[in-house]
Amino acid sequence: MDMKLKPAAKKCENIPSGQREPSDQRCKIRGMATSGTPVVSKRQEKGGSHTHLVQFYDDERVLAKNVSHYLGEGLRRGETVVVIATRGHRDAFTGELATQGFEPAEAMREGRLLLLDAGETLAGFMADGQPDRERFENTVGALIRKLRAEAGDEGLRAYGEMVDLLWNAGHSSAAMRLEALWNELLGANGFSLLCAYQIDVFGKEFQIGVLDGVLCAHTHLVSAGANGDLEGAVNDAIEQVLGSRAKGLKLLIKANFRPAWAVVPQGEATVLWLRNNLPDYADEILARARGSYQTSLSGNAN
Amino acid sequence: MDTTVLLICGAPNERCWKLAFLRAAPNVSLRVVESATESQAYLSGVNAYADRAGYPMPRLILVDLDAAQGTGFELLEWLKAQPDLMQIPVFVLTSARESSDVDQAYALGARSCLLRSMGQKAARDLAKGIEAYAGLLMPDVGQAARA
Repeated sequence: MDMKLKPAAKKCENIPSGQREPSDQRCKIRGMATSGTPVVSKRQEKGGSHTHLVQFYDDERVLAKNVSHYLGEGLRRGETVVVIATRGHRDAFTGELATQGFEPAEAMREGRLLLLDAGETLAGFMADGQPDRERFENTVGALIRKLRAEAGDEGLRAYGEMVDLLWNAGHSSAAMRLEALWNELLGANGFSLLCAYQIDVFGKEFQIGVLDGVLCAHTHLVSAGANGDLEGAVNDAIEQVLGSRAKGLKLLIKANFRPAWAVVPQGEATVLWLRNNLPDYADEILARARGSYQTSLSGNAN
Repeated sequence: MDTTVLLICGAPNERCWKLAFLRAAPNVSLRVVESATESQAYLSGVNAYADRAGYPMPRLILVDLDAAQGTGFELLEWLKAQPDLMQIPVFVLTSARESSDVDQAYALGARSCLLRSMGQKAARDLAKGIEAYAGLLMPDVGQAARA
């Protein structure tokens, strides 16, 4: 994939511009699987290109489902899969993989699935409250390079939540530093990475002022909803609250764009726009949207 | 209800926008100025724009980057330095998908950058959206500024 150099927005300056996608590829959502997890093509992972996905979630079921789809897709393709997560999440993901028909224990024995603890791995390269580049390179970097070389044409994909441990401990600048280190590793080694942050899409933290740097650090945002659940819930709530103005407003929201960001699904893009541009209405709209989204989640689970 | 929207736009696109607002956004009172200097005078209520009854403070400012005679960023920089105008949202209109201008506009305080496709239909859709949005802003957004 061609990597054009693009000037960065002020808050995105920590992201090497060569690691972003051409702007014309950021204007639409591509390759969305029914689970809402973007499909990473073989072509995308060759020639030094990479995909850096991000998932915001509040419901553990959504995380387990989307991550296990992502991991399962890699196993199905014969890729090597690395998971750097908390104990609880590792158990949840392997459990989901098993329900999908995979045999995680066997994949681990064969070296196709590697599970690492997020806290322990993070501790291996932190220094003075920040990720240390040299230590990161000597620990995570060395492991990824080794696995990438061994995987050859079959490819490598990783899931990580060390950034979330930092973010939720209040160390957002350290999280952004770690994202930048991951981007360097991704750019040099051509693999895919999915990060997850425990941030409620309907909550006040999910707004541009807070998440601009996170959105700039990734190539794609994975929707917290399946089959357009989230987008549908938000659109319905806009209509309920704003009535006849909803139609016009949706045209405006659809035309809004920010090339420096990851590709953002329409539902999440609409939430970000509402928080930024209609704060007087956002709380009411998003409270209603949350209600119907949770109902649809429960429906999907049954 | 008078919903004043100030558009900074030069000759190339002015007619297109006027037509679009006339047809699709009848509740918007569109005021068009050509340059950053003229828009500063309008927002400051000086020179030809001293009469606020004739030139009300806008609820929303639109900057057509393609046709603002190269002064769109100049205006954004000036607006950023005017704390009493900060509550008036600024939307940027552009047909360019290139990121540099858009990133700069966001860095200078634009609330939203709107991708404008070619043609009257696209312009009318945006005008309709802008009318809906401006109508939702508190009536005193513009009035409180520079009162």
